[in-house]
Amino acid sequence: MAEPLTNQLQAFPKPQREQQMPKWLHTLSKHRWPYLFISPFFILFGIFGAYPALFSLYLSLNEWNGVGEMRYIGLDNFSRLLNDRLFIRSFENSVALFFLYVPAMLLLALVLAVILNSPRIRGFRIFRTIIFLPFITNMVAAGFTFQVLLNKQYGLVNAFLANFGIAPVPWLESPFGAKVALSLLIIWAWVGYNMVLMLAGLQTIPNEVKEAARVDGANTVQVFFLIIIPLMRPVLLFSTVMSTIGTFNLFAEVDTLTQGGPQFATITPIIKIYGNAFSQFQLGYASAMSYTYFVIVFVLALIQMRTIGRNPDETTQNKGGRRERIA
Amino acid sequence: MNGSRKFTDFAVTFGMYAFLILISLFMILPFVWMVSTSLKLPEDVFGLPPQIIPNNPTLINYTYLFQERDIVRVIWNTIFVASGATALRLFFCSLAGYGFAKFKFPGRDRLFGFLVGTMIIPGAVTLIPVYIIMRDLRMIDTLWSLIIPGAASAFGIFFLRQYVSSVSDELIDAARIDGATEFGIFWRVILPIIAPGLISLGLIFFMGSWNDYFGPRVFLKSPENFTLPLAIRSFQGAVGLTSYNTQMAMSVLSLLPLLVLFLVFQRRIVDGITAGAVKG
Amino acid sequence: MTKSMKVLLFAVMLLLLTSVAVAQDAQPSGNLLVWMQRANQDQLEATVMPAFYEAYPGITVEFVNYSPNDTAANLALAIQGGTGAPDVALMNSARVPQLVELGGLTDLTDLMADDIADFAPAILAPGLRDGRYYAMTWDTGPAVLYYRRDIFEAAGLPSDPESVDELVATWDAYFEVCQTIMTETGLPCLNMNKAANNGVLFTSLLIAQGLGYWDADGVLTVNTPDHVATLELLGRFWEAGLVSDDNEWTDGWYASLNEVALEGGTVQPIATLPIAVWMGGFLKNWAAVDAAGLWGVVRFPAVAEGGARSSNLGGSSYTIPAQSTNQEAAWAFISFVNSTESQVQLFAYGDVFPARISTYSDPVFSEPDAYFADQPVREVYAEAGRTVPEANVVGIHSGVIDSYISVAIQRYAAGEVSAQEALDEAAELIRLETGME
Repeated sequence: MAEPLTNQLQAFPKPQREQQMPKWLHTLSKHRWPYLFISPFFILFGIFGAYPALFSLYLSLNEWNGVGEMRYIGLDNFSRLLNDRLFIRSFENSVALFFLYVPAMLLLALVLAVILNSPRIRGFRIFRTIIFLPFITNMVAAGFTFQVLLNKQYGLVNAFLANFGIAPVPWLESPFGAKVALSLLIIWAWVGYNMVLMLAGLQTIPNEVKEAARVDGANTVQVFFLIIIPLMRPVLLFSTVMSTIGTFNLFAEVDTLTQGGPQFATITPIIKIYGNAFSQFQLGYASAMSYTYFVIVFVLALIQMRTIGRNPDETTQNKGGRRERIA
Repeated sequence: MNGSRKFTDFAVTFGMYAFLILISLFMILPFVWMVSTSLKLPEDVFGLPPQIIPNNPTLINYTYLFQERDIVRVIWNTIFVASGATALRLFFCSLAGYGFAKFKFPGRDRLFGFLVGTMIIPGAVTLIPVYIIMRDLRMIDTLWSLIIPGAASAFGIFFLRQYVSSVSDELIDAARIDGATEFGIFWRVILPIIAPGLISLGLIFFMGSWNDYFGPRVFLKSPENFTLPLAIRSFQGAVGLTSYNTQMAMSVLSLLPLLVLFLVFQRRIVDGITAGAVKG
Repeated sequence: MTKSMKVLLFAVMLLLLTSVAVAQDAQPSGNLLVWMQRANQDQLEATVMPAFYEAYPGITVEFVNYSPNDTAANLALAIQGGTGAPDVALMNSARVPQLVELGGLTDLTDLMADDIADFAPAILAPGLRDGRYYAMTWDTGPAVLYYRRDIFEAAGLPSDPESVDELVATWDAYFEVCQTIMTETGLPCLNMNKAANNGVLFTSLLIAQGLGYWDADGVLTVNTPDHVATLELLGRFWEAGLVSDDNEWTDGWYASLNEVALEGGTVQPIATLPIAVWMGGFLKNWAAVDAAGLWGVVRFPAVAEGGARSSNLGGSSYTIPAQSTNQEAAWAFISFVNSTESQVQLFAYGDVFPARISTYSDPVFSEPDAYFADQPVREVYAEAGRTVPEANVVGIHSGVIDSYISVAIQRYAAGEVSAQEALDEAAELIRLETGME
């Protein structure tokens, strides 16, 4: 077979003109195809990502209603933030919501995944389909449906509970009840998704490990807590971080089910930012809030990655145990 | 001894099934209620005791939507936005994925790291300026405002790059020798091979765009431009009365297409979700 | 004909032709996009729209319905977003100041020049800025007390309007009447929702006393002793269990207005309804059709002895967004549907209380109303309209104030805080949010 043409070409000296091009232009031209291919992302990011992020920073130092003139006010927006009880409240709400539903949801997802993964259970596909189904629902439809179901006087849930002599629960009328209602909605919508993730993670645990543990005398519960959970750490971490971000980002669910109430009990940071920007027309202040929000969520995610995502090697070394290192 | 072992076995298995069935019921109940309410007359929505199967089932909510509310237009808007956004994103992401996976060029790793880093910027930070940009471009209240800003999806590039890496280099070199253009290689060699990945990712994009509420809420103004989630939320019923029955009918309509997609492509959707998380 | 006569004839013909052409051009035409809530659209279509289309055959009107709050919110967004505003927007007068402040509304002062004198200054005040008017008021919401004659009778109370009017002269007296009704019939007196209280009743009580949310210097006044006492007045009703928990504009509330059976029905009917006069039209046209002949109307109870027996709840105004490309037709629409004649027609049909002073002399005000058992209810309405106290409740910060006040009431109703604490907290939050003193 003849030598590839490109190799033959390389034997010839480069033409004069090419050697006089500036280096960067030469590089650009030589690698023009990959640069071209990746450029749409960077161009779009530049327009809709980088520039807005910087403009937002600039906006946060100003006061602007979007229509009139901008007024420079320095760090006033940020000092106002520190005293904004509602803004602080929105973070408190998110934290409360997080602890209300995330552990429950992840545990449920894991338990479901373990059960479905078990050889005892037939009908894997059907169950998985059903449990995953809520994932395709848009949050507006789901929110209204839950509103109907959880109506204090006429909802199905309270009617059902009445059979057991339970008084009508004020799901959407009390601050705590509203948080619980929201949690129920989110768990319903997302447990299937998390379960699917866990299933995939479970399937990476070789059966030999579980067999070995059982041979060593461990029962099901011990296998669950000492083998499965540690090995599922990457998946659990991913789910936790995603859920954290998701909790602070809640918008459609709140806008439909509780509208931030009652008594501001379900205001989330995004709802607050949106409200200040598009109901009060305080674009500068809203920008300051969104930057603060960004920093807080980022730090939280980092913390979670540090604490939950510890390298398995470290733990083994710390404990000095004879547990085998699972790749 | 054997007997008690068998009994424990049975109890555990029974318990597992019972648990699964219970959870499944919890998952299905809202759907059942949605459909049921959509078939009820307004006065039956809050009737006591609550009827799972309506006493007077009726299709008037659906006929109302089609005849007096131009729901077809809303459905079309949603299809247009979801398809457009998905197509555009798949195109750009596969292109960039190919660029990062199969080419060596200066700054490649750093640029890719930067790309991954952009995934942490929350939408809230860029929301207001993007809104202003759209306004100055006169694109507020157009469907394009929902398609274009999101066309740069770092996650999509990340996802597809892995698929593209699995394409054999020999295949690409052979195509080059045959004189194919770089773009031609992309179009004729790469795309067909990563088709499963495209389908998975495409389904995720499509469903995400279909169900998006935040974008439409911010960028759309006129009812004739609404997408389904926004239409459900903004629905004003007849004089003063609550309109759950029609809202549920709209919800059912918003679900059906995705349900079909989901049932047909379930495998692909699951692959798409897990690939992003577990491998990463 | 001489040459000069020909020229003259030609000139005259030209003049005639152009004046005809000008006259035809002067007819506004085009398509108008009008935002208003469904109830108001129905009212317009049942009364004045046919005549409007006849008078302006070149104009077509497309109505889009939003709830009153959404109309204002969406208009503000459209102004901010630079696109999507309608040609005409009818919104709650309470939200007008915020929109005027934002900019983006057409200055109507010159167009309204002849009409301004037909409105009391306080009525047009929401749309006024720097001496220019940006909104034209349609209706106001004088407050009255609707009551169920049959329930009063069942409780052993007189049920004719004159007697009832005396019975409920003050809110204390009203409280006692409610107690009687509860003891004798077991029925709730009015609706006062706790968890989602919208603060409307509370605000109306404040207005009845001439109290507002800020004083003449713009200093916030939501937690003065008078304000606290007013909240506690409402608290007595909750404590004594004399109220239903329905919130306005919910299915349960409509059912309680419409229920005829005093016992054994699907819901419990409520005995009274302290609300604005525009409710009369809603009751008779769609909300309480079954209860025709059972409702009567008397004046709003005064808060304290000798105080005003009226208040204001709501009212709406027309605006023309500056984005509209058909300002002429938009104004033609507004000036037609908001003329003295139209206001009277709408009042007769839907009890939408006209803001124009010139309407008050119309005989419609003394007509008996069959729905209200032939009581000339509009006389009561007129009396209420004449005696509305002025209070600082509508301004650019109204939205924020209303929402924090509502939350304060909700917390107080839930028993979480005392009235003083609730209002103190609201005051603090409002100050932080709005920068008011």
